[in-house]
Amino acid sequence: MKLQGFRTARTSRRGGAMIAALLVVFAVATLSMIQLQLDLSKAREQRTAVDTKRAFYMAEAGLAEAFQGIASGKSGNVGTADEPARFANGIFFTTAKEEGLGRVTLTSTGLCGAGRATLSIVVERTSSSIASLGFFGDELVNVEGGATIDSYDSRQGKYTPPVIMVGSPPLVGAKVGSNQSLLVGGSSGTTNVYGDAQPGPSGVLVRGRNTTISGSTAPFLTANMLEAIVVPTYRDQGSVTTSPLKPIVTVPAGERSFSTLHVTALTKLVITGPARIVVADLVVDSLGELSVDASKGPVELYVTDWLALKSGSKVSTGNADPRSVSLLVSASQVVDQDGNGSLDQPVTLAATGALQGTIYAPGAAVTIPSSLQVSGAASAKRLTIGAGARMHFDTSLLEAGANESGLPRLVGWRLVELPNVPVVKLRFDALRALKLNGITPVRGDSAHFDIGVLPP
Amino acid sequence: MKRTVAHTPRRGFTLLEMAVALVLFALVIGNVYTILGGTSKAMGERSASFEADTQARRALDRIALAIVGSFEDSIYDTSETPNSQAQINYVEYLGMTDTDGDGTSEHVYSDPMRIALTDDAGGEVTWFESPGGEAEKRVIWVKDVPPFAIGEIGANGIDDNGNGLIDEHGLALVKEGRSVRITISLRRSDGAGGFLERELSTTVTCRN
Repeated sequence: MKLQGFRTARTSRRGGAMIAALLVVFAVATLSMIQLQLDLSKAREQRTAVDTKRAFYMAEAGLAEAFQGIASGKSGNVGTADEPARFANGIFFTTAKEEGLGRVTLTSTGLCGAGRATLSIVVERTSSSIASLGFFGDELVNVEGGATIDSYDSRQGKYTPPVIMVGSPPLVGAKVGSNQSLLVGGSSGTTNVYGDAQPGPSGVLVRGRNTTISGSTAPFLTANMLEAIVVPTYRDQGSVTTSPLKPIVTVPAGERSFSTLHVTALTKLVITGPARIVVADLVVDSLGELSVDASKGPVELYVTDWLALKSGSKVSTGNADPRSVSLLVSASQVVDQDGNGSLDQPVTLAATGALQGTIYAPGAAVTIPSSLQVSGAASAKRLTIGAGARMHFDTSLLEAGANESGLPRLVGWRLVELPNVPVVKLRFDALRALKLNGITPVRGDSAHFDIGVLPP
Repeated sequence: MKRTVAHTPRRGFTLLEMAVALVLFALVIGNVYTILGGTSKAMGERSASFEADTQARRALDRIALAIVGSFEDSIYDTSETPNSQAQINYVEYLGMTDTDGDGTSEHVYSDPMRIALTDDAGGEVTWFESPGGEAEKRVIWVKDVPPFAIGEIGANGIDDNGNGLIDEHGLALVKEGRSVRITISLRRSDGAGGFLERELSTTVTCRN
């Protein structure tokens, strides 16, 4: 009993100190926990702020990827909300919406850690083709006195002469340019360029008397390369020469190659689209006619040695869309083609009529006479637009075709709301969540969609 | 057994034991109090500092994003260095919508907007939509913005704080080409008789 009394006394004395110590420890622990929680909360807030900025840049990366895609002929869709593209330690997906007239809205959502951001830009497809330069020459370009160069949009209908009223804003839209010097106007007649007339970076613009240029005359900052024509190869079908016995000869749709197409007087050669025709010599004699029918498809006519539309001949393209008729001349040698002892230029355009299309002759000098009205565009090594000629630049050529690449133009930028998709609603790192679900995001450059292919 | 009998009557503490225990307890409590007090004060200061940093940074980011998304041509009422303005008027680009149903989208722009240093609640940066109109909306983005920037004594025509701007306000906006330089100052009580001061600056470029 006494032993029990001894133990009871010792126990009561130890417990008091322990309670006091525990209270102190508990208070210190509580305060430490509060401080820890506060620190963690601040750290989380800081991390979220950093993640939000990273997500912002991730969305910018998505826009840049889509922009690059459009420039290289893709649709602008990159990745999807279910299978986004990866960039560094984050992910993004970009959607593209066609807005008409070549404009596309790109909306990119970037996710990094807990950060999310969505940005949107509107871009406009532009053409990188030489045709978009209008009437252009690699060397000298000469617009002779009395010539007029204006513009129209073939998407709005065929060309109609503009009505110029007093006080109305000046007409613009036409394009004349050169990689070197540019002569506009001569000593006689009134010369009008209703748009830009731009010499090359080191060239000069020389204006004649009574010359009006309503647009920019600033030199190009860089030269525009006239690339060599890549001529397709098809089985040679020999030569075709029309004759009065069969005054109309039709080249049917398809891809064909000829040594010579010779249209004699009082006969007609009709090329029907869709067609891609390669011919070494294309000669149309006086009173002969070359007709291109692109109503059922585009026509590309490649001339490799000699194009001679002689004086008195006729050219017609109907009401073709200038984008669907292309005359591509790779010839560049000045030789005696017809064996008459005199040298022949690789290109002679002395015909009458109307050509609605584009002419491209990077190695030859081309003169377009006043008898031939070109609606579209023309580019050559040296280009002369004859006195009194009427040229109409088709502004639809400024817009890139679906399969044509061109650096898009940025129209607008804005910050938009986050999309309502599951991956955005995740409260933690989306990249980690995707990996846990067995999805490994691919790189942005491998996540593009082609035009016409809709993301799932 | 003898030992047990001898100690059994001593159930309390001697005066000396109590005195030593009390002194030790007082020392421990005093130290704990000092440590906790110091820690608590440091926590408070750090928290207030963090809060000021966060609010200043958040306000600066909001202003910056608004300007980035605005039309450069729509920005006016800003001066060139060394002068500055305490407000900016702008119009934002809102993307494309087919408003007339012709199948082709048109560009859409916001109503006029303004970011300004106001004094309704003692100095704050306020965002306005349709300022001055019947449909005016306003949101205070940050408070405790002083009438003059940190280090600026007042309207004395001198660059007191040496940042290249003369007599700039707590919100100072300077247009430099397509870019706008934004400087924001915060000044608030630290709860101990002093002031917490923050000044942040950034330069952003209009994307539209």
